[in-house]
Amino acid sequence: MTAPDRYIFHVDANSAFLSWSAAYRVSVLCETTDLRTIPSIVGGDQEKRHGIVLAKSVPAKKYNIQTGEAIVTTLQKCPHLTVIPPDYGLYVNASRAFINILKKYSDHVIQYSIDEAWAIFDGFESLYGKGQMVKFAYDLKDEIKETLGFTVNIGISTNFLLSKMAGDFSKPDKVHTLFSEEVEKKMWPLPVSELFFVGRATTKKLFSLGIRTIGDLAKADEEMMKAHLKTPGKIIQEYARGGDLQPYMFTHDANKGYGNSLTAPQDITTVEYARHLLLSLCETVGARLRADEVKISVVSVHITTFEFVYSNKQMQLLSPTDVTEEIFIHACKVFDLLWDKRTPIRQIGVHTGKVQSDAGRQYNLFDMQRFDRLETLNHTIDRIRNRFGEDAIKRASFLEGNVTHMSGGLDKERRSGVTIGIDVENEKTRII
Amino acid sequence: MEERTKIGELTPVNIPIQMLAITDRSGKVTPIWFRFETEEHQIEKIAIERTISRDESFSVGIREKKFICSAIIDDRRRLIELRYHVENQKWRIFRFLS
Repeated sequence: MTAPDRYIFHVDANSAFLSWSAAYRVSVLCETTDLRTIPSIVGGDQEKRHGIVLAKSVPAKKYNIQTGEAIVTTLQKCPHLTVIPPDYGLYVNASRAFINILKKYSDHVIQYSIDEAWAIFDGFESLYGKGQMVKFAYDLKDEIKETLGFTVNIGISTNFLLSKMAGDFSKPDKVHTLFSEEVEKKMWPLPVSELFFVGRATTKKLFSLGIRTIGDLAKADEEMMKAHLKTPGKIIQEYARGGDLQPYMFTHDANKGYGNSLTAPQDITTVEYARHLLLSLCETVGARLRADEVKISVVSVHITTFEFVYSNKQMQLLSPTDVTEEIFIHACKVFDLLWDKRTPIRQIGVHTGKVQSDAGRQYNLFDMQRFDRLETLNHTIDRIRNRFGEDAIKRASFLEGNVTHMSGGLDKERRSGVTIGIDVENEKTRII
Repeated sequence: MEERTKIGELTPVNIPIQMLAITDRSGKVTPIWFRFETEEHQIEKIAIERTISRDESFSVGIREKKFICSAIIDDRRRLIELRYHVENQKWRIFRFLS
């Protein structure tokens, strides 16, 4: 249990990407219009067809613009909307500066994502007193606003979950408290979908059980929850009652599968082009498998057509593998079964499953290729890439054309390393 | 931002410049003169009369040194705000104050 005088602040930048870009334009580029005061969004590159809303301003919210929707539809809702491109370098900078301010006051800062972090203040109560912690949060919020030029929300509580819930109450530029004695009054009337960890699917299930608010969930019968939602049900009920986050929230479980997908710069209409993209996806997936020293025995391919119709298919391998070529061969087989060779494809992805960590190579009679030689080759290529960069060595087939030789995952410009993961043992962020 | 501008307009901002500045032993920076390319592709050199105030900003995590200086530009004394981006070491005219 938490010590009585341990306070946890959840600090979250308000519409982070947008306000960082806006602050940069106002205070560094001396622009006169502040994007935060007009309907505006940060949108992905429409030419690369990543044209979705990444962040929106408060005035844009009034037009019912949602994060994640296509830019085209937002322009229908609000024709005078300002759309700006993202600047990931700036965001990483802003994120670091913001975390550093927190670290000035607490040696115990856990960064949860690029724009939010928990700061733990242990023993501050005896220094400042309980009422003063709220004042301190206001000062901290204002310091961030004054030095960095953007606003944050701070949620104060004695545990992680409640402080996060408090930070989400109302925005922007606010401080909220949610101590265990306030849970019933402040958190229970909220719709259950607001609860951390409750997504769309869970909300639907809970609705069918007649659970609409967080209070309903807290008071629901435990046996019923367990019967309908299994262990996750128990966990979210615990959350609704004001329990703290499970320690595993801070660790990344071993992956159940490894997959990468990409939206093609132009619709896929030929098998050759599709195979080319599949190969570049397999390169990335294979490299990830080998980096984690695991092997997989299921390969699945999914496609989304130009009309946004999704379909997928999978295939079981005869023996576990981590060889790029073997994954690719199977991905192609699956793809040939999946695609009608007519409908243009917009998005394509390769996913692998049935992960095993200590599988040796099972030789079978039908292995036509000498995969063990390829295994060695792949490991050598990985080592070269680790040492000299991803582009140091590539397949000749990628020399021509516009297909990058390792696709999927984050764009290079977005691989900041800021949100690489949280190490619970030390409760410290690993920032590279 | 690559903008070539004519001096004398009030609004132009963010003109990249070449700067000669001195740094004293305590790390205090004083701009001496700067030059830049005008719209007509001529190099204009401007001497700084006086550095009136210095400040620093850390907006969105970008460290910049701010200088408010007076200089004679086209026979007129004008106040300009110069900025030095500490990380990439670039100077620019941020704005004309008068």
